Amino acid sequence: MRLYSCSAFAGLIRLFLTAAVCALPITAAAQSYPNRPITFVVPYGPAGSTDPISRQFATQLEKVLGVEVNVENKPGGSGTIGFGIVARAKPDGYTIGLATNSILAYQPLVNQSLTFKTPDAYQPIAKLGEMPVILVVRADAPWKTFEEFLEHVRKNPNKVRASVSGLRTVPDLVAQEFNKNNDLKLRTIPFTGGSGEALLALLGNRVEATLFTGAVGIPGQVQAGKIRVLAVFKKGIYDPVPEAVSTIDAGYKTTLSAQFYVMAPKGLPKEVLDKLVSASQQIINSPEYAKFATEGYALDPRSPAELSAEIIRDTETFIELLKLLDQKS
Amino acid sequence: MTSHSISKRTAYLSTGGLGLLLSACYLAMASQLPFGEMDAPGAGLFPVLVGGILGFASMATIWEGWKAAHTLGIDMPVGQDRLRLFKLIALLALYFTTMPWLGYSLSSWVFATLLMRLLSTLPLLRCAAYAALMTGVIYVCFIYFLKVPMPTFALTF
Amino acid sequence: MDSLDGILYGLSVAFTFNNLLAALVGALAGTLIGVLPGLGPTAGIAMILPLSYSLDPTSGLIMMAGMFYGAMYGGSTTAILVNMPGESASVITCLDGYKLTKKGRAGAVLTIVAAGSFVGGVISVIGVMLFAPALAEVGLLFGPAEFFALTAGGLLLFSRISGGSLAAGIFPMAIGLMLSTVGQEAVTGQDRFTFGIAELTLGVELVALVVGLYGIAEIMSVVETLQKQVKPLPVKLRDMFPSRQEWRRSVAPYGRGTILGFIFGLLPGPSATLASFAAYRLEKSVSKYKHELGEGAIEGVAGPETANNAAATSSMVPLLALGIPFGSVTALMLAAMMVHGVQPGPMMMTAHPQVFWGVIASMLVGNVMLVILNVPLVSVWVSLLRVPNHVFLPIILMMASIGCYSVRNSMLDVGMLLVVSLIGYTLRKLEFQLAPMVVGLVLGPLIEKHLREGLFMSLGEISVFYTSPIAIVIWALVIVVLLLEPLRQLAARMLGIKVKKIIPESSE
Repeated sequence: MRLYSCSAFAGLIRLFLTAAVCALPITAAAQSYPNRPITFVVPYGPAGSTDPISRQFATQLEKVLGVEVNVENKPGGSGTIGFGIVARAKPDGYTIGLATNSILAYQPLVNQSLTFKTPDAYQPIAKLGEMPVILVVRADAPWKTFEEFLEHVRKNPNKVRASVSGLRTVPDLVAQEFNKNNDLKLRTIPFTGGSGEALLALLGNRVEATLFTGAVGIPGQVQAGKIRVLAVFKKGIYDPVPEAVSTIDAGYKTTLSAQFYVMAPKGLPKEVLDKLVSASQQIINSPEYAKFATEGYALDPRSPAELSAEIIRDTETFIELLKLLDQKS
Repeated sequence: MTSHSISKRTAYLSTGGLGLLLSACYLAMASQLPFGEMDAPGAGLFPVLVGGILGFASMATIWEGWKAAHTLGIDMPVGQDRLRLFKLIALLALYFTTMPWLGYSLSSWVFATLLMRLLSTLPLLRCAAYAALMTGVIYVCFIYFLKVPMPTFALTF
Repeated sequence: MDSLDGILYGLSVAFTFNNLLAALVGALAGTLIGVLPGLGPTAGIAMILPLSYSLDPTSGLIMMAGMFYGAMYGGSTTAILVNMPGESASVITCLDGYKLTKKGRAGAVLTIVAAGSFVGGVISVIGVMLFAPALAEVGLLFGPAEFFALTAGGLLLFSRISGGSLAAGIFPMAIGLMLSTVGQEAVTGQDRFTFGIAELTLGVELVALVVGLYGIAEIMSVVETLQKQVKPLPVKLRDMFPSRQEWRRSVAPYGRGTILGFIFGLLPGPSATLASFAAYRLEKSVSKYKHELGEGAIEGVAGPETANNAAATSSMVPLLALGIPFGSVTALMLAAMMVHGVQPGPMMMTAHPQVFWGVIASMLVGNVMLVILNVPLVSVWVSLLRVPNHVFLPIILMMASIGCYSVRNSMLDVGMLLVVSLIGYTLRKLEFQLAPMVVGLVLGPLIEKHLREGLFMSLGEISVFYTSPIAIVIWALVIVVLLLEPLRQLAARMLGIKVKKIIPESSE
């Protein structure tokens, strides 16, 4: 008798335990997210302008979520290789990454083999920041204001040179958009190897101006009396260089900037997505992050839906620009 | 062991000939790249120059071969030496092809064992043991301590 | 804060326990990474970057600087001992370093190299301290036209870098140039010669080429001649230290290497590698023992190693003074500084003096620490040479594959090791020179970049390349050096004939 009830009882316990263990993963996965290290993929090399902001975010994310966040650099293909890894990863929230509007909006237009052509192919999480393009000239240049510079450009079509960090990079495209909208002919000279080289060309007096993304290192040079920032291609004041005239406020149409986003693969469970989004918002709104951003990023917190819209808008701008550029060549 | 040698003349002439062939193919591919304008040079400019340099170098090699005395020879390995060399090359090829499948540690162990066997007279089992030790030390030093990322097998080590 | 105050302040910062520990850890890890064939300072620093973020900015940067030098030291160690360069700056060291090892002078060479690196580093640091802001201006003077002169001229000069006939140098160089064009092109993003293979868009990895060409090709040679291998003799104490003659012969190369390296470090690009090539070429032109170069002349090791360390040190100047990094290592340091909120640039000296002077002082400390670490290690390294081949070679090959794979996480690079080593083996058999191939691979992209940027910048005017004064000077120097040898031989022959005629007459 006792034997029977023992084994029955044991059987019941076994059944109960099995049921509990089976139920655990279903609830555990979402509720205990994250419970192991997260990988944050940066689709550029460790020496680019994308690394500091990625690492700042990753470090803060570690503190908010309580797990290790490992930054991995996977450069190549102008960022498409690294982002491709994120877009194709398992949507469990353990692989997320950085993406720029150049990768998401521009590259799909010129690279047919990419799998992420529209914002439906991935899940936007947050916008880390924006780096608008600024127009910089030497301190000893004859043009003291933006208008004076534009006057010079109008008088010398196709002769005034502005260095940029590469063909079809954000500063180059901003220049082309500006040219198109305002009937100007400013020439862009590509200096591959980072925006540092473009700035060097200006300092060495080999070009008349440089179009610089963001403002890292710029305030120091301004204070030292070497350069002058004439304009910033965005609306309102750009904090690192408040003396720069906003092109939009001055009446010239501009829409492009370098945008930095955090992205995840499509299909995240709702709890995971919510956790990531709220953690990101917490980070971006934190004073620590704000202090970091004073080095050259403009903060512009947005919701994931707004991000998709932004990317689509940038895509359309790029399409227009490409049509124009292809017509010329 | 008698050594086998091929004449320097033949070697240089054939190398130069191969070079010319290579530069011809290279130039053909390069000419399909866009050249751009003088003020916006394209991707094809430099490869064309390089192709030209390769052609020039190949001709210099051919001339060198032509000039060379008929008696000058280049020693090639024979017999045991040659066999050992080929086995080494085969082992390396095996190692590199199995690395992504078996993972670094496993394929390194196999490779080290076989290489030791090739280079010494130790019995296979002893080689395997030493190889395991070597692979273990390298693993601890570089993969565990310095966290160098290497391909792994399902066993993830 | 003037320079003397600065350096004293910097030393006080550098000599705190935390910072000394950071320097030691960096130096040790750097040496270990440098010894691994292929993995160089860039990869190493990228790996400890996250670690350095949890430290304060000065300590983090000190650790990175320590790793940078450590990797340089470690890389030359493997280049000398087993003909496998740790990174591209050590390629030149293989040429004479390994030959000297085969002659049994490994310990001596390692000591000479450690001393030379120390001398180059310290003198370079002093130069940086005294002239940092002014030096930054030097880098600004060099634009595409000047760099084109430097790199294209360098190509001409370096094609004869290791002697041999014309074809023996130019043919491998052309192949190196060709390999450098494979991959995604920098300016327009055009894929060239990739045959649709995705991994090739990143181009041919220098490290895989160098390790395969030198290291593995040498291993193939060793395996081939296994029967004829001489058992390594027990190393006498005398062989561990350089002879007085070796010291004497190294003094001038130390000086020449330091100056050359210091200048190269101020310019953008792979300055340490270029500095080592230039120093070797200089030795070949002016050294008294130039005929021994390539067969085991100590100048061929002392000069280049001093130069690459001096260049590594002075390459900090553009970063600290201008805020513009000139290479991947300094770019990583810039990223680290940014995360800590330190803005490098003209204001750094006043806004963050402890970081600025701390980093400079740490360069001194780092060099000292590495010499202290490495001198006793010399005996360890040399005793490694006595390990039997069947143990040594598998270990080396395993480490080489780790090193090559980890540069870009690419199996293609590892496969390329094998292909390149076969090419290297064949070239050696045919008595072609290997160094020019490396020169071609390193200089090719640079020459193209500056050629095209120059044309973009001048709006199509070719004259930009020969109207700049600096460019003219560089071309003039190149022509002089190129013609030096033939002219000297011509003069000797002419004078020799005259002498011959005179003597018979006077003996009458």
